[in-house]
Amino acid sequence: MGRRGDLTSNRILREGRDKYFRRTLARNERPAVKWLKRTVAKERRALEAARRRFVSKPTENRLHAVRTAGRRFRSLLEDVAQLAPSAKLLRRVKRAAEQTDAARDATIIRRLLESSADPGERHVAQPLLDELSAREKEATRLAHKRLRRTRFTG
Amino acid sequence: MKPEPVLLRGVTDSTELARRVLHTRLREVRRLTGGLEQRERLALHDFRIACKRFRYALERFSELEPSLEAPAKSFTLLQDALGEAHDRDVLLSILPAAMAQTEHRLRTEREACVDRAGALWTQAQELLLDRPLTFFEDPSNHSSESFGPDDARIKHDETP
Repeated sequence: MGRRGDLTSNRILREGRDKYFRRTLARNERPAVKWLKRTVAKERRALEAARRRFVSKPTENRLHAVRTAGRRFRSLLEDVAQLAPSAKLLRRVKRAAEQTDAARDATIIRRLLESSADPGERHVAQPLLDELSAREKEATRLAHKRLRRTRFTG
Repeated sequence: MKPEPVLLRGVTDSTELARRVLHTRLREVRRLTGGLEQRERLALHDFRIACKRFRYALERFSELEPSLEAPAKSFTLLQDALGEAHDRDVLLSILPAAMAQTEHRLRTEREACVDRAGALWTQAQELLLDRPLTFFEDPSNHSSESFGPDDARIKHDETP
């Protein structure tokens, strides 16, 4: 009984000490780090939400949203690398961006060619337009496949 | 182009964090302004990426300092112009040789985009010199930093 009682009191003491340290750490946490943690968590959630939306229905707008959220998040991680190093996460974000590059590039260039091709040269542009269209579909399919396997949550 | 690392040793509050990040990113933008003057594809691309990084930082920190919203908007417009020029550069690099008329049109549009970017860069600099620069200016480091109001004015005058 006494032995059991000792164990319990030790546990209470240990838990109390842990709680005390956690509280002290929280109190002493620098506001910059607090703000940073909140911002990183917010942007990370935004990227994960955009990824999920794209995975559920891979449209051009949703792909654009993934890219935008990814760029913002990447820029944040690079800006604060010295204060909050996250090399692994940064690599994952960069890889995700690379996986969507081809699809977005093909879309933008196809649209621009469609709108700016001279009417007299339309027949010359057609094979390139077809190629860009095929590239866009294939790249979107690949981005969808890869982003389905990527997670940005902790 | 790799971003310049931001020195954050000894940073304790979020305002100081914002100041250092903005300071470094703006210095990067100013270092690459030559791209706008040269109008060459790769140099322009690097300048565009630096502007993008600076704009994201402005938007992020406008949560802490609302006066950063105006320059953030002005950098959005600048980035749009640079983005349009970049899209034309990419298309021009794969355009079939037999599309001379289209090529001419794209080149003209591209030059107009770069001109617009030049004007927007001038406006953005004025906006930065007006107000928010004081927010991320570091008086203690002033001599060691590559820009202050005087330096910025010199570079500003050099832009086309």
